[in-house]
Amino acid sequence: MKTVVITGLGVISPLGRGVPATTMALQSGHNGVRRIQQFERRGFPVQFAGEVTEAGIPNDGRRMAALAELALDEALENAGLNGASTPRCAFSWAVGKPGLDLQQLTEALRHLSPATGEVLREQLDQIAPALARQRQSEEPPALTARLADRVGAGGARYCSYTACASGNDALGLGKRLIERGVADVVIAGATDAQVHPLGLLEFDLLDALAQEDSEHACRPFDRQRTGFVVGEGAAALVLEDLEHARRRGARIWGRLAGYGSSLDCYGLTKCHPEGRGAALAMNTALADAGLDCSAIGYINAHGTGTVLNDRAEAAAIHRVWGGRARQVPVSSTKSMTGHLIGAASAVEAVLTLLALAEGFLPATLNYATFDPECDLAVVSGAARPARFRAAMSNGFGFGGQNSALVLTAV
Amino acid sequence: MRQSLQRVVVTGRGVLLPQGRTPVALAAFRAQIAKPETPPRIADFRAADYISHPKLLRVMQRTFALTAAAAVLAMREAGVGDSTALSAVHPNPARCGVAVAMADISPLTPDLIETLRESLIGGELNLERFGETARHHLHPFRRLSLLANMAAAHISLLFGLQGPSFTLTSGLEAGGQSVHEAYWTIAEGAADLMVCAAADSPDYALTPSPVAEAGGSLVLENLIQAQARGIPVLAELRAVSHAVAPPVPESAAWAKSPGSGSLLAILAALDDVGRDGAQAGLEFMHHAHGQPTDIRAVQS
Repeated sequence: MKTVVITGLGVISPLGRGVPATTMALQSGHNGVRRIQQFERRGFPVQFAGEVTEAGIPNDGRRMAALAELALDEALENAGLNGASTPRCAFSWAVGKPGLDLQQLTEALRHLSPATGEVLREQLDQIAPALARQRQSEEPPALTARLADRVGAGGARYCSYTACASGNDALGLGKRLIERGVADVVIAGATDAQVHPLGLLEFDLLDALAQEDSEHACRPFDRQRTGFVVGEGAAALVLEDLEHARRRGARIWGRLAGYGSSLDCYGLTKCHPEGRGAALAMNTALADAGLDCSAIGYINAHGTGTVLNDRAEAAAIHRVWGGRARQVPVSSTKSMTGHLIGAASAVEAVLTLLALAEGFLPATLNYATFDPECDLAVVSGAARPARFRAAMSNGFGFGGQNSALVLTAV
Repeated sequence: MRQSLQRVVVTGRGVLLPQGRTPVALAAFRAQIAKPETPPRIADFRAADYISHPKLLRVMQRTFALTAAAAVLAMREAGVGDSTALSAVHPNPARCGVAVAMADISPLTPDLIETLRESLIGGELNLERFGETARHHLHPFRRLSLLANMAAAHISLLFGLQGPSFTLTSGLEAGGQSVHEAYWTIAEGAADLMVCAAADSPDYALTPSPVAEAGGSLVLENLIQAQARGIPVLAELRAVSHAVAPPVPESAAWAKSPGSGSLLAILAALDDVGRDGAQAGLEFMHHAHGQPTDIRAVQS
């Protein structure tokens, strides 16, 4: 079996653009959640989000692509692959849910008389082609193909989506391609940009969002938590066969040692209350890595800040670690970035690798009140130095989709 | 490495097309290929005919219902469903998973249009009003009805599957990729049974050309397990390299279906294998990206 290592990182998130800026922000406990700037939010039910503040990124349907391109360009350069020919290079990417251009849709509606039933259906059929043309280049398959072309990945091209577990699954699928010998290099990652009115409203309707208008609204594992804050961003990781990486003298950030995927089989929105599926994904990732849970020195939790999710994840950690659950440091970097939805776990994989490489435990911001139902060793306050050789990064999604990665030092 | 791989077989197939559906004969394929002027919708499709789970049916968008219905047909052929629960077939649901291929689900829905119409002030969209009217018109689960991985969630809940789950959204290649990943998941011993499924529906589809409505599903299983429970083996899959999509009969209306096209092509190829009268399999061949793909039957 091939050993899969990570030789390049690229990231853009509410913590900033690029690995150096992100590392600094992560170490200093920067809060990327702020009042929404991307649209006129007056009177809108959602006021705060984790926005990317980088200038020059289009504020429309092209935003996901632009974020992805920035992350990919950095990852290639970081891996020393910029301009290099990599014949056996594959691509595994998760693309978030493309939005709708509400202005264009509104414009189309102005020319149609109000209707319901079959007439409305016919009207929608009339509108759809024009909207489709506008949206086509941002659809997941088209965007993935364009991004793969950009990085010169001529091998397999996977585009996947598993809600908030998407990033981990894209990385896991990429790992498998290298392990099977299909590719020497897989460029993998995810992009999502849901800080737009329709995206935010859809999460609000689910009653999943934090119930306070504050930049401190995201409080993973805190007893006062009320929900998550939506964020946006992208991350790209260059996965590589260890021997291939050594032959070309690449810098190795760490090893993608384990990957686990599972289904809760419990409900569409609610996760299994005892963390059954989450624990299965974690155990599968540990088995894949050939490690006992005692080897894990840090967990970057999914930690959304919703009451049920955090409780279930804590239960899952207890299922896996048993009596040692309180010994493993846990934090949720979503407290700094917000919840990047489809891109969350790819970005968190990068943040976990940075913590592993630089020797520190990222903090969980806004954590003030212990919750006995989340009885974990939550890293709160500020980041603290720590040397560890292995970490886990979790990603769980709607529909009971669970994923976990084990990342180790090489 | 290959010596340690588990052998993977097909034990169930499910197909839904406008011309008909059948769990076994798959004759609808031939009718469809021979007569490509396909009506875009499966006119008489009723999800409740396949899915006896009222809570799920209430929130199941049509594409997901078609995907789940195809999976029901395939699982029925594999001996699961109706009166036979998964637990009677496999003791560990954590070793049974789902691999789905799915196109992007259109967010353009009648309730969104109603909401937008009521949110116009002087012809301009007012976001404050949009926020208020959304509460009245949009279904709280709207988001869930649009997420590609919800098909896998529905199938998981219908059968009690708790194992690995993938949802590929790569367009035409997604169906082949889902089967390939399911194959490897079993071959490498991470699961014993995987349900592969895909569907397309033209409802408000945000695609430039009409999409034929279709659903397809395969049940893949570890050979030893299939033999142990005495279920007929329809074919053996032998993957030799990375695979994407098989050759698609160009005349088929579903040939360009972004979600289900290549999975249906695999099912059609499987049907051809069956016609040879021998227990045979599909051997996935390596192909360069963008080139016609190569799938062939081999004697088992």
